[in-house]
Amino acid sequence: MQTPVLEIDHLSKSYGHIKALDDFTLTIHKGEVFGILGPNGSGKTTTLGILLDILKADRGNYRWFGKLPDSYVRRRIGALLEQPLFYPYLSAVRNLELVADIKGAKYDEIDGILKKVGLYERKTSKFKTFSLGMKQRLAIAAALIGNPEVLILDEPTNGLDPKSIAEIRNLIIDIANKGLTVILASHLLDEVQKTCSHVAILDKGKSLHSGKVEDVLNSSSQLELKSENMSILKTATSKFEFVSESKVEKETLVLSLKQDVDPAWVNKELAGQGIYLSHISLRKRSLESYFLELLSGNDA
Amino acid sequence: MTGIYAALLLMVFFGAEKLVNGVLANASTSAPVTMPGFTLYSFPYVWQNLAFFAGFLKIFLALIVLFFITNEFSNKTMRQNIMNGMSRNQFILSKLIFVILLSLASAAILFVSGLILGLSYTEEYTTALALQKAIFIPAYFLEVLTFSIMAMFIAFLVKRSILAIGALALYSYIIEPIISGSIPDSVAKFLPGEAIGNLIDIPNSALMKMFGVSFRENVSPLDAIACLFYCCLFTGLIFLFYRRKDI
Ligand SMILES: Nc1ncnc2c1ncn2[C@@H]1O[C@H](COP(=O)(O)OP(=O)(O)OP(=O)(O)O)[C@@H](O)[C@H]1O
Ligand SMILES: [Mg+2]
Repeated sequence: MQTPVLEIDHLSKSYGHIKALDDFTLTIHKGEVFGILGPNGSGKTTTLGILLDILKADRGNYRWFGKLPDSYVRRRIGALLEQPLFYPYLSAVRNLELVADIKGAKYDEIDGILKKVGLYERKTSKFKTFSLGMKQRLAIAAALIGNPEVLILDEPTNGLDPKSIAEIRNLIIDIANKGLTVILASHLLDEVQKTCSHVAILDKGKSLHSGKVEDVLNSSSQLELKSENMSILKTATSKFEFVSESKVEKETLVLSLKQDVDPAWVNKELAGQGIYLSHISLRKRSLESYFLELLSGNDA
Repeated sequence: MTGIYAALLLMVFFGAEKLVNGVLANASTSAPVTMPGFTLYSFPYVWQNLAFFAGFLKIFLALIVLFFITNEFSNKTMRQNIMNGMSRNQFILSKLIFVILLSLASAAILFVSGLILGLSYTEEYTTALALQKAIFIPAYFLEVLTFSIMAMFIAFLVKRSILAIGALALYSYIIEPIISGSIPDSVAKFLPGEAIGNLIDIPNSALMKMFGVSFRENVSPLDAIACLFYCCLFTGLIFLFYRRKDI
């Protein structure tokens, strides 16, 4: 198998008594769009900061492309962390040229990148004259310089209007389709669900889950059932092997499923036992409900 | 800002004589003896005279350095530069190179101004005479370099411009004088501020000779070594400090 793009091995970091990151382990492979999902203060930025050598971990280590990290490896990574950081009194182009100098990239790719993020017309304006959304776009432009193999984006749609958000998401999907690896930190569930192939869920510095987004969505589907006599229905369904949990919500029986089932089969099976359903529907649980469930479990 | 500093330097160089003679002329009207007007610009004394006056302006250079570095923290551009693929050492080195270039430029201005003034104010000169005391040019370079590196050290340590200016002033005007007052002079003269200040002594003038005071007309190697030591120490500490630090 190919060497993973990134291996994170038991990273921990504390600020005083606050554990910002607690024994975090994760592996990311080439071509994955990996979402790091977590509420505010869960340690997303801390993780990415360590991976970019601006923060030092207390324990643990990480490898980029199978090697212990150095400054050269960072030139293969495009990064946007928390907020756009540029020299305020320099123009957009000049700022990008400085980035290109560090990355060892040529200046001639800059115009194309500025067009891609829609800033070409303002390329000679000073950074400090930009609006929040324009600054964010410039930061994304900077991350794209030098044909990076990995993009690290920490809340990349922060401060953007809905149209821009859609544009940036499409840009991320485009980039991913070219085989680049993307690491996307976000607290926006919808963003992760729409753009990511994989997800790690982080809370209070701990990893609660990591895997394919698809698996999260499938493994956690639910079946809603209604019938005249709910108690008979409940007893009957409790005999199904594929049910992991059942509860009654608003006069509806909600079954959590271990695996996919065909609702038609369930309907037929119950009808055979003389139970006629007035309502049956398969509900694919959203990442959101899974996320909230995980968090409430972690609080307990 | 660098331009303003260069202009100030030139103003001091070209205006120094008028200023000094003006003060003396004022004084002599009220003094019983008439004081001789004199020139600051004749070879070989021009080098020490100009270097001494320029020494007062090193604080401006230090402030330029200080803002140059604290800006990297307030804009968080140091963070971004490292994320983009600079190593921490490269970043510090790039700032050090800037400081060295700035000090070299100051010394170059001193050299050119001294040459112009010396050539036009000395009646008879030889190359040997002109360069006799040219050691004050590298001494001046070392003086501004050491002071600027001290400012760079404080800026890297404190990160915020106001705090860094405060720390520099606090050290120069309060902490070092207190320390130097409580230890023997032979040791105190090697404290950073004193070593930097001692490098170029007050130029002797006819006036001072009249009063029987005499200052050093050369550069003491010990002062120079002390300054070089501080340059290395402060730079080394910055590198060390940023090995394990969050940025
Ligand atoms: N410089 C710092 N000093 C002290 N505590 C810090 C510092 N930086 C982060 N923390 C703490 O570390 C924890 C993780 O912060 P982090 O910025 O990684 O969260 P995040 O997941 O990025 O949150 P958000 O979604 O709000 O960006 C928080 O509890 C935060 O208070
Ligand atoms: Mg964050």
